[in-house]
Amino acid sequence: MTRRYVLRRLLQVLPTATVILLVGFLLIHLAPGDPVLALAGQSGDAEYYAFMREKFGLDEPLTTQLAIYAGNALRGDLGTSYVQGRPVFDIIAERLPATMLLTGTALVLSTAVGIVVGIVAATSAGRWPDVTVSTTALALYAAPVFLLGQLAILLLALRAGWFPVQGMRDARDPGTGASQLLDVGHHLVLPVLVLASQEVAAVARLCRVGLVDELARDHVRTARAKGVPERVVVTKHALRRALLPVVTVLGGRVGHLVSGAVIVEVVFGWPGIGRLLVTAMQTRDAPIVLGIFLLVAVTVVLANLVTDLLYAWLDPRVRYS
Amino acid sequence: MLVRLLASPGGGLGAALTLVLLVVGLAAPLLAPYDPFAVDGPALSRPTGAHPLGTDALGRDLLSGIIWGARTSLLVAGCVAVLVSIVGATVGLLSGYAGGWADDVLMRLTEAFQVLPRFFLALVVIAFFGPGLDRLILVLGLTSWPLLARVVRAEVLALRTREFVEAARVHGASRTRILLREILPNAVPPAIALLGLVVAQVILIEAGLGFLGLGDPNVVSWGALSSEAQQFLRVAWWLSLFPGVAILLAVLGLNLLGDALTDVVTGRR
Amino acid sequence: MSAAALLRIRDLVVHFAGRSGQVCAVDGVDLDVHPGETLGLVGESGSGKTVTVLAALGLLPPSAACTVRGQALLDGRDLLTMAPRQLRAVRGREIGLVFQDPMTSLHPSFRVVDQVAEALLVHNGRLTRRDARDRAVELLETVGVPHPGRRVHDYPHQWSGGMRQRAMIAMAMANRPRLLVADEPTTALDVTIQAQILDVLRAARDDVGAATLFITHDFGIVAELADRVAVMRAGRIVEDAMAQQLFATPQHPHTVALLQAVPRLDRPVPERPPVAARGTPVLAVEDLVTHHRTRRGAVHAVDGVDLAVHAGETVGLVGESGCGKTTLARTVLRLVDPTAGRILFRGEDITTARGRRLRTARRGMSMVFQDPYASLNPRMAVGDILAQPLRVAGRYRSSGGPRRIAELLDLVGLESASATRLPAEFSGGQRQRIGIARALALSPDLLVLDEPVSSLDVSIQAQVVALLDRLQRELGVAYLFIAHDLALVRQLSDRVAVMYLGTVVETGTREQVYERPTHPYTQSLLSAVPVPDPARRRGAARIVLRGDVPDPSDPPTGCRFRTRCWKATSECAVTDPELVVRPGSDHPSACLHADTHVAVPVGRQPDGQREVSEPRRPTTG
Repeated sequence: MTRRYVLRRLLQVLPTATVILLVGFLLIHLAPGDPVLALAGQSGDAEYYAFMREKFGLDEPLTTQLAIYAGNALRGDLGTSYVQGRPVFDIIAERLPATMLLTGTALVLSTAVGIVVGIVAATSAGRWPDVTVSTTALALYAAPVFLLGQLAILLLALRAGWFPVQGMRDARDPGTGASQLLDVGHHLVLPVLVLASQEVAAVARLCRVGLVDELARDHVRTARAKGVPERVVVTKHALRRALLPVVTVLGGRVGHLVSGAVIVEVVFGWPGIGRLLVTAMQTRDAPIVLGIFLLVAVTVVLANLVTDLLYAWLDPRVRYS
Repeated sequence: MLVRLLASPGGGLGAALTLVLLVVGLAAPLLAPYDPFAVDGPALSRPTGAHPLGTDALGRDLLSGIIWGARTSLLVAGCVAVLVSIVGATVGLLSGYAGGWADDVLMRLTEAFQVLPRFFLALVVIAFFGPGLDRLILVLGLTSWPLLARVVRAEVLALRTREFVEAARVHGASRTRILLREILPNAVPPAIALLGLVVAQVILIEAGLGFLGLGDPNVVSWGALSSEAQQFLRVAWWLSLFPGVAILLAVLGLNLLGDALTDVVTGRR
Repeated sequence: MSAAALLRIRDLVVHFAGRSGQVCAVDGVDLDVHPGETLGLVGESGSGKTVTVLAALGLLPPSAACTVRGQALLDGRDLLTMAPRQLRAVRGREIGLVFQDPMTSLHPSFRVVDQVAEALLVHNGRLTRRDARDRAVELLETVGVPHPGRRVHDYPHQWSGGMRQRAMIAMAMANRPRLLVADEPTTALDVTIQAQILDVLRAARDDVGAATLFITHDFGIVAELADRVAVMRAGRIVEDAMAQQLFATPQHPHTVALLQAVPRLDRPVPERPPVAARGTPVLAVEDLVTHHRTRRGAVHAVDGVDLAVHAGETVGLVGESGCGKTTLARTVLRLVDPTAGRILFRGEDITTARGRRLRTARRGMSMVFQDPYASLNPRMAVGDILAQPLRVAGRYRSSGGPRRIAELLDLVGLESASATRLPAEFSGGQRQRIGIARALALSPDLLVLDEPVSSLDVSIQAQVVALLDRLQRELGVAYLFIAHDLALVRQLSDRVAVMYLGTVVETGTREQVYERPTHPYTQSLLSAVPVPDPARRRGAARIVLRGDVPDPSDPPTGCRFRTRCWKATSECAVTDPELVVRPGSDHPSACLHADTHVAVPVGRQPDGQREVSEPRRPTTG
């Protein structure tokens, strides 16, 4: 694809990133009370506050403050949590892998299963496999994540005892190496299932609609008229373009998944940034909350960027123009 | 048009569920058997005749809680819908009709707002400003309009070059007149269908926040009811099931209605 | 014809479950196609002709809402009850299909050559991909795609409409099928490209010896290609006869009506009342130029046009797509600003008029648009639509308000109760009448009609044209009538102008241009129009132009038409001929070799042009 397009798209990230930083900055300054609380937490002492005030230039004019804030943020300095006594960045970094494991697995699983389910629904449009699938998808899509989580625990963990109720590892016997991996995997099943099921529904709906539309198009009719087997018609002629809408929402889905992950982590006691976030809210540890917000916002922006580039690569009309 | 909407199974069910939500929410004081905050009944009792959906750890009736929760969801949904429509439609209309640099600027703005993760933004706002329905409505309203704006803009762009708009130009109609009388009545209906889907998402977000204990403590919220259930999962399954199902039905109804509306509006074209 | 039929359709019935109940698209159709025969299946839109054939071949989109009953026997085997694997073996190998719109019928994401190769690979398991590709290139060469070997990496959007349709034909004929089915294959193409494609189809059919089922709404094409004709209406076959017989003595009233309604170049047209072409013309356009800017540079949509329309007369403007006629119409009405030149309305220069002056001028002219479905605001009642021009001009009350609306409706033959209804409740022809009524609301002096009947069926076309004629006589309005259908323009016009790539190449009275055309483009246009008379088919040699219309953003130097012209000489590349009266002619023509004689060179041209060995005069009378 043209280098100009890539460059243009990269440049578009700048205004969005600016808005995000601005929002963060505004919140710090619009919130009731002393801005330093947002950067240093509730329970600091006068000395500490003076230090933070200095560091973030809170006595300087607003524009300088913004520059300092932006500079600090870009360098990874998001403030320090007094509650925990450590830099925010470190705290978040510690918890991040668990959430990435959860979210990443859910993303991959939901995309793969969603597409397959969508294909099944589209190729049997109007008949019973489609009706069953579509109705189930509709119900899953409308259900709040915590309901699904709590039901999963009730039925599959408490009643059936197949899966552990909480946590990422067996607290009594963490094990090492392979057995540890298995243990984590075992704990991972329910949370991922719950998180992915909502997304599966969304992907399946999109895929179905896209595929039904494509299968009704003239060029698919031409393929059939040539005698191409139906299986090939679906996978080669129709699927490619039908999946484009699925690709375009990838960025939005990342945001959705991370939000869902927060709740799933609370329901299942999974030690990721979601739980960190909730704890931080309860202990009024503002810098952590802000830090997580910035992290998630930037992640979504990057996800959107990747999505756009992927879309351009897939659609030859965009590529060759 | 209404008839066609109701004739399809999805549309009929969606309309019915949404109607139920509306009625229950509006008539909550009349329908609820007990005061939802009243600590009257036996704690953690199963569904019985006196308390058809059971009670929570403090002995509060769950049925009443759910009925009043409908009112909260309705309130949030309604206010956000109004806010989103006004902002989204205005931005979409101006952006699509004016074109040029105004369109570019507005579109950049729209993209920027679209990317902001709503859930986390709401969390941050609550963290800094404290919980409250008004803040929630404001945050959700100001971040949910981009999709609507894009749809309206796409419609306006398509309509701008359509022959009946050109006919109006030939007759010498002014730009304002064309925008208001030719374009607006045709650009808005597809957006209305979208509103149902947007509002459904808003209810889910509000429930999620309530679940995390970040909702407005002065009102009953379905999410908050579910969060209580978390501790008592082993012993009181009804605390988890009923509020969750209530949310499911409300969101399902709105989604179905939104889908059916979209089909009707685009099918006409 | 005693050989058994290759394709026998018996008692075919197709139902669709629509929003308002069941719709019966095909209501018991019997059809036979014999080996080596060409059957033309004709009908208006909605008659069920396409659905019949697609249903018989199992190509309707799979849907629970559609039911097909009956038999479709190919050599005795029923296609409707065949196992999917066998059906697939038949399609593409024994039956080849060409569809209407080559842009949407080719897959946009695959290379053209690969798509043609796929037709071969699907039925020949032992063919390698390389061999299939080579064979595909050969096939493309046979159908007249220039230098296909160099275009192996092209995607469909990089080819013109004519080339894409050639590729479709190559795909259909790749496995030398016994039956060729073509569904409106030239409807989406310009008339000169259509002539090329019909030739290609004919050659392919003759080469393979296939039976052909040709679906179309155009009687001219049917007369040219078909041995037998079947006419469909409302899902039934109303007449089925040999072509000669059908055209000479049609039996069914529907066939009779259709044949009468079709505008034809070979029949005389009714006389038109004489027009006083003196005094100030209602509209005069002097050296008008309109360019638009695109990424690739300026497109010369209108590049120096002179035109005049006098009170009460009709000037017909003809040309194919891309010639600039629509842009000209929009420039005249100031919907688009001209780049250079002058527009004079009732003697007043409105080229740069603004505000009040423009509004006042606009009250005297108005437009009727092509698409009856897009030209009326779907959410406005008909009465309000008609009132709009009156209200905008502030004349609603002074002209009588609702009474005026009723008057307008009556003028176009609609009842006054229509005023409260929405456009969706009216048919295409009725909506076009509403559009005409709206255009006449302020009693304009000039009406610009941009392809006003192209989207309508032939029988409705005739009614609307008759209406336009009557209105002109009653109200004395001048018309600028723009269309690509030459026979239609001939019916309504007093004077005619022919456009090509932004300029007028020939102009004159109707009789002058149609009887004695001197510009080669006009001559080829006229000869390309298929005439609904099978008797003419054998004798008439047609001029088939080379290649495609050049890119308007980069027109050829000198005479624009020279790249496709058989008379072109080196002088033509240097001088741009002016539109003046040339020696040997009685009306202006923009050609250095303007001549009523047509001498097409002997011998085969490389791009599918036919061999013709006699100079001939194109006659239309």
